[in-house]
Amino acid sequence: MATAEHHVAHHSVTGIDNRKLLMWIFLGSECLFFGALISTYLIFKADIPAPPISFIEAHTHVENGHEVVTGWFPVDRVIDDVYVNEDGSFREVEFAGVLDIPITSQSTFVLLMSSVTMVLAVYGAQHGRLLSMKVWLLATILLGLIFLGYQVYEFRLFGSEGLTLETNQFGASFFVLTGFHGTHVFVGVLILTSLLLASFRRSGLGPEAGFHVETAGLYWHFVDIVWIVIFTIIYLIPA
Amino acid sequence: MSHGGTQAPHAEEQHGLTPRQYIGLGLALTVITIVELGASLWVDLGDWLIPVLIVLSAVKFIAVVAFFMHLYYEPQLLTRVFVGSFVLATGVLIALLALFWTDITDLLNGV
Repeated sequence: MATAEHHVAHHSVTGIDNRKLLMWIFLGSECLFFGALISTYLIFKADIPAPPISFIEAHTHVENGHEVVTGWFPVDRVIDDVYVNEDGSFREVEFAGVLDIPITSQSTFVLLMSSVTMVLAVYGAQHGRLLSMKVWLLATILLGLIFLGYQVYEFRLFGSEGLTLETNQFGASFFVLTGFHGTHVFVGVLILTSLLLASFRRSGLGPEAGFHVETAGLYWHFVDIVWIVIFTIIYLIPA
Repeated sequence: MSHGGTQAPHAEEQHGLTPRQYIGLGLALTVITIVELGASLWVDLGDWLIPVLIVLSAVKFIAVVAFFMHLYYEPQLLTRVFVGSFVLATGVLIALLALFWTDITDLLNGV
């Protein structure tokens, strides 16, 4: 199964396979799509109204002699702040946000490793190592599902803290951005699963196995680089 | 980002790293992620934090696009398509932030 087998007449006047060119144009449009969502998130994050006093009262507990307010704040760490009571007096509190960097770092690592397994699957497909391709495709699918599991866990955790799509602008933009990314991961899992299942047919993925897996790989790696940006902007850069 | 600059129709068939190099690159990206975590959580970089995080994530981004997505080995047209779109998206992001963050600053200042 030499790689030279997939020389089918799909090359355009540009000298590039038109299907590959289309995939890169699609990924370019996806850059604009996620760019808009990230812009929206950053704008809304900077304009979140202060939580009402009733919320502060209901979510405050004493921890090591300090009053700590836990809730849906878009931060990952404790922030010292002064809160003004209804009678005008000041009250020192600490705000602890919902973002959990250690947990998200694990899911980031999982997605990063899925990019490695994906490129190994592409390598296997392009070099006629079909068993290797199937194993790495399966590994990529499993890692993608684990990433989605982390995301479901995080969404449920945030929901239990009171952060939903309707809570405030932070919640709306956060869930739309990360939700659309998760949807892309899910679509990627479906594409890879269909490729894996098709590879078990008698004819396998046909003479263009390397091309099919490489094109799917482009989509998968794009999902990874989007998460690299999201992870930095949402989680690592302080509020 | 393209390697050669000429449009070789079948260049993609012989390009890329070896599996060992791909795994090494994956480990390098993991190390960069750990450094990012350290810079964000455990080390006080002050005003340097955001530039450092942006540079590190840009290195990861470029590494994945260039080597995992093989753009380094592809014809320049594909690089132009993708980088052009990315630059446009970044420009839109900067323009929107400049527009809305100015409004927010004005509001805070009572303008």
